[in-house]
Amino acid sequence: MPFYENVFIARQDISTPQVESLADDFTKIIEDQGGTVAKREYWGLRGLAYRIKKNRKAHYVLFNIDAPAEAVHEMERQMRLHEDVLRYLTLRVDELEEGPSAMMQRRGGREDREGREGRAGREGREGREGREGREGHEGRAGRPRRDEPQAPQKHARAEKGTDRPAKTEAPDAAPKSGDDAPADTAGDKAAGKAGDMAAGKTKATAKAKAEDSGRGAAARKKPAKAKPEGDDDAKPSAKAASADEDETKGDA
Amino acid sequence: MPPAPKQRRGGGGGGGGRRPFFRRRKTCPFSGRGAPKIDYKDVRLLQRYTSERGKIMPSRITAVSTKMQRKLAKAIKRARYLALIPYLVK
Repeated sequence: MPFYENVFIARQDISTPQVESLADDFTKIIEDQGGTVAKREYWGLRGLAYRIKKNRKAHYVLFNIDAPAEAVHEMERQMRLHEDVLRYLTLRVDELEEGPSAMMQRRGGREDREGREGRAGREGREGREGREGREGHEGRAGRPRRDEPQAPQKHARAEKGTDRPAKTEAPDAAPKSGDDAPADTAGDKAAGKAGDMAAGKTKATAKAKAEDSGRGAAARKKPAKAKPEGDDDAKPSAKAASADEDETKGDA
Repeated sequence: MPPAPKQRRGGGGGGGGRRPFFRRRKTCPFSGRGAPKIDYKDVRLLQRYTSERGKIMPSRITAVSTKMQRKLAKAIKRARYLALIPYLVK
C-alpha cells in the first residue's frame, strides 16, 4: 500500500479534546478500509501566517498513513465536508518518516534553548495583531542567518569584501610588494592607459615611495597604502623599460 | 628572467583572491553529506530561503543547485498553503 502524509488544520475555536476526537474519526475511516495510521502528531494551536476564514490560529494535526488510495479519498472527502477543518494537505511519500517530524523537533529545541521567547511568540500573538506576528517571523528569519554560514550570503559577501583587502593584502603586500606590482600591471594594462597621465607625473615620487615601502617592509601599513602608487609606478615601467621593475624587485 | 614569473603570477591572479570582483564558487547547501532534507514542515529551514517579504530567494544568491531549488520552491509553496509561512509580508 502506498504511503501518505496528511496534515489538516482545524478551527481555533474547538478544544483540544475535540481535535483529538476529530483525528480519531479520520483514523477510523482509514482503518475501516484496511489502512493503518503509522503516526499521529498533534502540533498544537499554532498561529497562522495569514488569516484563514477569519482564524488567526489553528490546530494542526499530522498523519502518517499507510493505506489504499480509496481510504485516503474517503478521508479527504470527510475533511472537505467537515466545517471545523480549515485546510488539509495530503501527499504521497516514498517513505514514512521515523520519529518526530521537523516541526516537533524544532519546538522541542526551541523550548530548551529559548523557552521564554518561544512561548511569548506563540501565545502573545493572539492578542496583538498580525503586525507583531509578522515581525516575529522576520526576526526568526533573521536570527539563524547570523548563526549559520549557509544561506547568509549577504553577510558572507560583506565579510569577504571587508576582510580580504584588510587581512590578506596587508600581510601579503609587505613582503611581496615588489612582485605584486608587476603582476598587477599584466591585468591592469588596459585600465592603466587612463592612469598613464597621472602616473607620468607621479612617477618619480611614486617610485621613491615604492622603494621606501620595499625597504620598510616591516611596517605593515605602508605597503598597503603605497600599493596603488606602486602600480602606477610599474605601469610606465612595463612599457618604457624593465629597469624600474628590476629596481622594485631588488628592493623587495 | 623577470617576465616568466610575471606571467605565471598573472595567470594565477585570475583565480586568486586579490581580484576585486572575484567570488568563490559556493556549493549547494542541500547537496553532499550532512545536508538537511528539504521538508515543507521545516519552517525554520524554509524561512532561511525566503526574503523578508516572504519571496523565495533566487538560487544565484543562495547557491542552491537547480534541482534542489525546484524541491525547495515546492516545499515553500506547500508550507505557504498550510499557513506555516506567509505568502507575503507587508
